[in-house]
Amino acid sequence: MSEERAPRRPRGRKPRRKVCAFCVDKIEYIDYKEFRDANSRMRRYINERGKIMPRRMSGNCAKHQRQLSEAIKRARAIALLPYTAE
Amino acid sequence: MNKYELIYILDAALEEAARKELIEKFNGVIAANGGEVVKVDEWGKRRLAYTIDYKTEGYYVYVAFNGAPELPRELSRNLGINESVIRSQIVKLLDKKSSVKPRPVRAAAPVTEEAPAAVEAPVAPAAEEAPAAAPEATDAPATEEAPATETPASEE
Ligand SMILES: [Zn+2]
Repeated sequence: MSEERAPRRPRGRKPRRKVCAFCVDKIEYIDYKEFRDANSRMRRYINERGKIMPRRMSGNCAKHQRQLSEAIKRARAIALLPYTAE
Repeated sequence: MNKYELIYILDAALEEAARKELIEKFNGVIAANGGEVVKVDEWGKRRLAYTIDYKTEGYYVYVAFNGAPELPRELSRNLGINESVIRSQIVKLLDKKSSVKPRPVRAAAPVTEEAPAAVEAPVAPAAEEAPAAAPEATDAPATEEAPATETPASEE
């Protein structure tokens, strides 16, 4: 199956199917309070400048990306997360 | 009655007695306006992610409460005029849970099947729809009814 695909792929990195981690975990609601913990796994969606990781990198689906950005913005409003560079 | 949650940040320099008094006061505002305090969780002193009024830390208080749609406005007005409150935020809760949702049918099968395929197939990610046709809006002013089951989100 991989042998069939390989020749048709133009050079470059092997495209990797990304799966929405929130869908995999069947998360219904992304809670902004999860950013309370500095070691929260949710922090991986924010880069060191405090920006939200784009969907093309995280592989999140539209629905969960929307929820995630909402949660991040709420966490920012209450100073759990920075708006800009830490 | 809607479900809400409030987080406010008190001045960290506040004495314990004054702090307790304020927390009681805000709980009183909820009660006086026909609401009911479900849970008060003092997170305590925390570093702020950015300085607010030159302050680098604050005392976080989390309050889950039920109330009429008018209550959040009145409550945030009270929080806003209090100088010991550095910041506050009220969020309307939906009946969604942040925890793992049980999805009996076709939950296990596609996932195990997708996992290995994920390495090769450059297919668009399958947007999984939540079966519950719950509205997306999570903002405070909305007025649709939220049947009270239990406190979501804050299962600690
Ligand atoms: Zn998703």
